[in-house]
Amino acid sequence: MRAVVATNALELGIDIGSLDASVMAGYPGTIASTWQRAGRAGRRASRSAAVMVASSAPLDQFVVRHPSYFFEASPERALIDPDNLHLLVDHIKCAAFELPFSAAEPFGRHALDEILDVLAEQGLLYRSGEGADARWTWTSESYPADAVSLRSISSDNFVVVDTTRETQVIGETDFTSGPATLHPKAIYIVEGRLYQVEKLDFEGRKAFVREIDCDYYTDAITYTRVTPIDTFAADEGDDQGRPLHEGGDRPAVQPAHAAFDGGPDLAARIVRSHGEVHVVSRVVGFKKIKFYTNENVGSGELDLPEHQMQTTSYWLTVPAAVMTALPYAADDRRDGVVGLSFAMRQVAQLLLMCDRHDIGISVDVPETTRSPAAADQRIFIYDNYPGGIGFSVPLFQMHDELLAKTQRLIADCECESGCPGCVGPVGNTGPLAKAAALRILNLLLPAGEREPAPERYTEQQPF
Amino acid sequence: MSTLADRIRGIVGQGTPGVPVPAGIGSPDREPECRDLTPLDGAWIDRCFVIERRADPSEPHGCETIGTIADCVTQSAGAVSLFASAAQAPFLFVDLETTGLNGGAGTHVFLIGCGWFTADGGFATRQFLLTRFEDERCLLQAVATELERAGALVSFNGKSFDAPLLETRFLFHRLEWVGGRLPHVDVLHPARRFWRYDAGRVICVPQNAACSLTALEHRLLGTMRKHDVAGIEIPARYFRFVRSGDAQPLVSVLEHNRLDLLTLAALTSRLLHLSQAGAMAARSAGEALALGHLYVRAGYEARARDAFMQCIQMSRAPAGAFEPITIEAICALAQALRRARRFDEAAACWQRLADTRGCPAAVLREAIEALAIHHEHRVRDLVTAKAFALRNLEADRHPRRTRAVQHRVARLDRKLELKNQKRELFALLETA
Repeated sequence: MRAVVATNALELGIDIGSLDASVMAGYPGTIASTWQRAGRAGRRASRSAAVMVASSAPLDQFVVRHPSYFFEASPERALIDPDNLHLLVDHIKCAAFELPFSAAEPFGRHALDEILDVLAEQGLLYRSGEGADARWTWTSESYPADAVSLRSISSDNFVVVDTTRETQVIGETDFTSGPATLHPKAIYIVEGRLYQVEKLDFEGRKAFVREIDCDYYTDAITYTRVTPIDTFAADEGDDQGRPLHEGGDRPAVQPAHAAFDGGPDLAARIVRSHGEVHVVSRVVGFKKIKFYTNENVGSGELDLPEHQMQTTSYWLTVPAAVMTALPYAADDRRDGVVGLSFAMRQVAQLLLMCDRHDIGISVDVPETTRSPAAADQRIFIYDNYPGGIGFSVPLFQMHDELLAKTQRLIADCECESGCPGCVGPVGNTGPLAKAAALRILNLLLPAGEREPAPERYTEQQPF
Repeated sequence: MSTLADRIRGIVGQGTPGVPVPAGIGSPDREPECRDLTPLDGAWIDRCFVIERRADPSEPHGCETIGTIADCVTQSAGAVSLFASAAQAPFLFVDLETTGLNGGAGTHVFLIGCGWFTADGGFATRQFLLTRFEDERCLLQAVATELERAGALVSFNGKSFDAPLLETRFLFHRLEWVGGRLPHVDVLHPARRFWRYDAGRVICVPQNAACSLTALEHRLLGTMRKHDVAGIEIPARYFRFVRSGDAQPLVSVLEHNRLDLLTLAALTSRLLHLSQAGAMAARSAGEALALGHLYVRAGYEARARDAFMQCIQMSRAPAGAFEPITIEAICALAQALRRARRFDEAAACWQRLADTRGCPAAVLREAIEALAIHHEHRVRDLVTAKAFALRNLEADRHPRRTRAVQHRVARLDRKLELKNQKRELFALLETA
């Protein structure tokens, strides 16, 4: 045996002792995966080598420019929120099936008896006894664990049907990501083969695909509107995270960072928040992206139903004062915000150690303002799962780090006016997006953290 | 902003598409004020609700009376050791009704039906009903006392379903599971062996309904149930009772359970009678064949041979025609004869198989192999032995088996050559 070519199936737990080197095509997405894949070589006493070939994807470019992110950081935390109502209710169902619940038994952060009573009302549980003697016994013929998916919150999904030769199911996708990955004309990849979606039967939850030979993949353009429902905490970002409701509805205005380019009062506004949001998204079109170069080679329009969910989100508010302080036209300022959100997504993904699809991003203008350029601009980074899975609190806490690292990502990027590695390719945003995004960050960040490219990152030579 | 309850409602409703909320649900569940158990015609014994019934000896069950069935069991009780070595009378027939058919820790046993033959030849049943989840411990304790007096538990599929389920319930209450130390006869397995064939064709394959209790009841006992409740409906009926307190839906469940016990007893009676009386009592070739296999396992070789011969006779297939049951019987008989060192008779059986058109490849290979061995070692007809060995070599291309046959052919060739050399030597000597 001279070489093994593998997908991430061989990433964990497989020992092929005689391998001397591992070559990774692209950054695997997480630090843990990278170490795991590197560790496939050198399983005996001899020396071994691991090589990562970065693609032009932003995250890859970031990692090779800042190798200390990889070499110095600890592998990711596995984030899961056990109190996510969707997850919790399923767990309570399974627990009740195993053993009846009794009163005063704790299970999660929410009011357990309220959840049990709703389940009883739905006929899944039966409540006997009152008060302290209450007991909830499973009284449904179904086996609740059957309905729990290990991969996604909802068990609803789309199946992918190949019609190239005889009709057969070749895959499935969870409901949430269905429209974005299985819209008509989307390129769907299974085992290295490319398929094009010919028809999406939304009601029947089926996508009909046919094998195709092409040199691009598709990236859905999703229009997303995020509306905050309940703000759990908000402040100007001092790494503390003071609950909002302690001191009334509006937090006290505190000028935290004195010497400031655009004047001392610019930072004196709410900058970071987290809370519950309502997300309405609709896939409105798609881009064709060329393999390897990530070039944009075409696009198309789509008309698909809206998808709504309630989830948790972190959001950055760029105060109107910061916006007006920018020496650019209104459109260019707006491009700056969009470019900033593009870069923040990459960094948030890295900080949270999550997959690209685990988070969603949306830029938004509060509807009450008439002149968008003069209004607060918000960048939402939300958990892309109903109910949220616990990304928003850590992001809120890492707010300063998020902004500082985003600034470094943009400032260190060698491109002139934006590329897929920082604020997005120029075609996506305007020519001034990169400059505007950097300006915004400079205005938001405290003086000490504003210097571009601190030395600890330039010392490291990329691989 | 929605309340927690509303949000949960949204999640629960969305999570189970297509599952309608059972009837009688909608208002928050509360324990029914009173339970009306009168339709069940039972009685409270300590804190357990028990329903007792008796079937008189003269009462018919299918084409026979309870009395006849009971007599068979009494007379043939000794044969039970063929099915479970430590088992002995008195037999307690057990059948459960549960809140789910898939098993799992959360499945409750809500009805434990026990049945036994009484001294006067009748059939008594005692059914323990779980009327409130809180009373489960009491109920299990009463059931344990009931089980303990049995010499053997008899069930249908009880080894894989009923016993493990009950054991789990006992464990949850930290009670000792008495069933663990009682001999257990699971009638499902012998039933599949005895009644797998119908008119010489295999009709019962595992997972097939043809060997379910009600199918056997219909086929063998000739009974037809009227207004029987389908097994799949039973959990829902119990949940309806739990919520409403109205026991009416359970009436037919109790009767279903009682009839299951009665049929289980009748099937057991038939099995015991057959095993005691031997192959002459078999009503079909399938029964005779299964009896033969049963006797082989128990070491009753003479009875086994009789049973296989009886099966061949009963199957009445025209000579040389393919019929699975006959082929299986001839093959089993040949093996039994060989064990008894009746080689010529065994060879005749193998020969009969070898001449049967459409004989399955594996059986044919075994027969020809046996014939090759027989001619090489017993008859010492090396030419015929080689012919048989070559026939197998032609038919079979499997490398491992082919090697063994090639080995045999090579040895036969050596022997034949030796024989020829001897013959030539003798010829030389004679001429000299």
